[in-house]
Amino acid sequence: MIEGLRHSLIRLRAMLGKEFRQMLRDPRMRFFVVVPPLVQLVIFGYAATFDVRLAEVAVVDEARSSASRELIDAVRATGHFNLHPAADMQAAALLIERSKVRAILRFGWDFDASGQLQIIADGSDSNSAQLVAGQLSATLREHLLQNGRPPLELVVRAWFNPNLDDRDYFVPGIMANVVLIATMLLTAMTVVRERELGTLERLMVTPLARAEFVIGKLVPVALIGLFDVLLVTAVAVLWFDVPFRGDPLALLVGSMLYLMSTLGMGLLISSFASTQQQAMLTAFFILMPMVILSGFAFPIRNMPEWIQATTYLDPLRYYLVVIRDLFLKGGGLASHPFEYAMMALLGSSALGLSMLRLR
Amino acid sequence: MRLQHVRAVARKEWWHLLRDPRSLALILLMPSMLLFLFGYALRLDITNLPLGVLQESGDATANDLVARFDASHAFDVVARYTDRRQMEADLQRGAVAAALVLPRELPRLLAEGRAEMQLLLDGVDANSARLAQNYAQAIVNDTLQQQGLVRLPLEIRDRSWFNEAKESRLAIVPGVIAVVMAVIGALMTSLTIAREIEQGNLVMLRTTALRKNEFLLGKMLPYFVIGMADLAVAALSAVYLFDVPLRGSALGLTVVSALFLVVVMLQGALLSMVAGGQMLAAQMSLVSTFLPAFLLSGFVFAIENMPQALQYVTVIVPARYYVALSKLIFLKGVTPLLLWGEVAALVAILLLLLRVVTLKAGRLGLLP
Repeated sequence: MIEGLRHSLIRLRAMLGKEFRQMLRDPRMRFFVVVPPLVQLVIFGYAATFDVRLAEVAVVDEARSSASRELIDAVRATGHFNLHPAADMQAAALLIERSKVRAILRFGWDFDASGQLQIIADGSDSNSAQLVAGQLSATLREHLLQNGRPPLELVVRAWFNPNLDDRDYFVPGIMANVVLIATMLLTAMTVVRERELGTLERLMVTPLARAEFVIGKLVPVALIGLFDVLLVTAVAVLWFDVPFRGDPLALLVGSMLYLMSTLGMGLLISSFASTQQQAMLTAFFILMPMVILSGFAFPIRNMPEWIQATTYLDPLRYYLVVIRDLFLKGGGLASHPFEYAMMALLGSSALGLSMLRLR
Repeated sequence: MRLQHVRAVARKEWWHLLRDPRSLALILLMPSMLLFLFGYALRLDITNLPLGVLQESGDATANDLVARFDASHAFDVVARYTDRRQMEADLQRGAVAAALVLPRELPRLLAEGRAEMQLLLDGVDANSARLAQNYAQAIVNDTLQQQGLVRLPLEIRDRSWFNEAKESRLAIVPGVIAVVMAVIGALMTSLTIAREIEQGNLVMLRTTALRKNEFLLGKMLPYFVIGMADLAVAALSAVYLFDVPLRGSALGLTVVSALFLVVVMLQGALLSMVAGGQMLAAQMSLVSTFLPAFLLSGFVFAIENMPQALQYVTVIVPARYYVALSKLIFLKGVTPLLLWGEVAALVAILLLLLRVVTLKAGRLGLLP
């Protein structure tokens, strides 16, 4: 018994050594463990923002009165809008048609009498044009109310993220994505690669047991995943100033449970695929819905009920809840028992299934 | 360049594709699946945000305010509190995403014209919180105006051109098509060429009369056909399943898409030569095509809101131009020539990539 275990450990060590050498021998592979996570982090950290910074807006001032000019000046003074004066609606329509502006602000010739003004948003834009239109009308209202203070003021306070910084929301989520893409793709390719190159048959004639083979394949990928977690956390906290308020131990446990499910799914894909190309396509086919349905960029709350039900099968969903709270709200292992349990359940089922398949 | 040779390589690649029906099915299902997912899941507007209310005063204005919050599509009053600590605990654990506090002395202060009420938000999801803040402000403004407590000398009329009902699925379809084409084009091309490199077939090919251009063209031709089939599937399901209007010309869309497809395929070819293996090629094409098409193309996040340095980076993202063009053709119904700058940019990137790919192929000595 003990003798058997000792032999098993020796074989496992040999397998692990082979896997590590194979993976890290290639300088491009070493590069790939480090650079893509950082690139993703930087792109997301800077690109993913819904804040209107400098929106292009066309202005049609048919009224040409002091009131309309005052409002236009107020809009310009915020510094959030780049105003393009247009002679008439036709000129403005051409600008919006060519996507030179996101919205049109129009003061009709009877503006002084009716007090009516129009904001026209470019509806071919998924989100940004609506945000611009919303901010425009908020700015106008605010300016008008400044003259007389409203009798009831709404005091808004945002907890956990007082400046409503999109970065604080997105950066922890990137970690989940980086780990998912790196580990699932790597695992999906592993077994099928040996199969495609014909080395799987050679491994089959060695005394290596199935479990040893799987562990030998998964451990290096899992370590890469954990390394990426550390890397992204460090850059998020040190470079992007995202707070980390929770218990680091909870991050470690949560990440390990999450890795179980990404590795399990990757292995399952690999066990079904006959070529690397097929494995990649399948992985991608599964990866996209996982990311979209996880609540990473689009809140699950807004989805139709039946789609919300499918998100319970998505391990990314649980990991996101756990790490977002760890970064922004604080807390520890006790905060999210349901999420940890679901990740463990999904992970062990995927791993179990793929072990059965790899017979 | 001899067409006969190109045809031979293309035929071999075609057989290779047909032999693997599962991959083929995945490729052809991908656009519909993505359209479907994005069409239903991509809603950034808030609806029925769970709101908790701590109402200390029972006067008419306060009751009216709470009723209006509950009736609005943005909020849904799910909890009423009498204890502030309970409310804060619920906000902390995420049971409610926002909490409204109406103080006891609201009627008196309102009569004096200096009342305040508090809206606490879970700021983790900054975008939703920002939207919640705007909706809440609008509800308060409306209530005050209707009760005659404030008079705003202005009426703002909101309209949305090209998409009167402000349906997000209309606006996302062009973006989804760009993501699908970028992924399929680059991923498939990079994998197929990387496989030949990995298995050492290129060395064998060097002994044949095949030239490198013939090889590349023959390799890419079948995937080009499949990519265009994907476009057809995506466009047809957009129009017939999702009721997205195709207001411009189908021909214009086809030409522009073909141009974009060739660009991403060349990108895939380049990546495969840099990577030299399928595993690396796959990861590289995923990171360099999918993410930029999703994030840097202006599809979800507006380019002008990004920092200046990143805006310069988007100049070399082909998806950026394609998203702009297909949006124009689908929803605005104008000719793509109106955006000749975008077309020219795509052509320029294509020529540049073509040059780099042939240079790289020659330098590597891998290709015959």
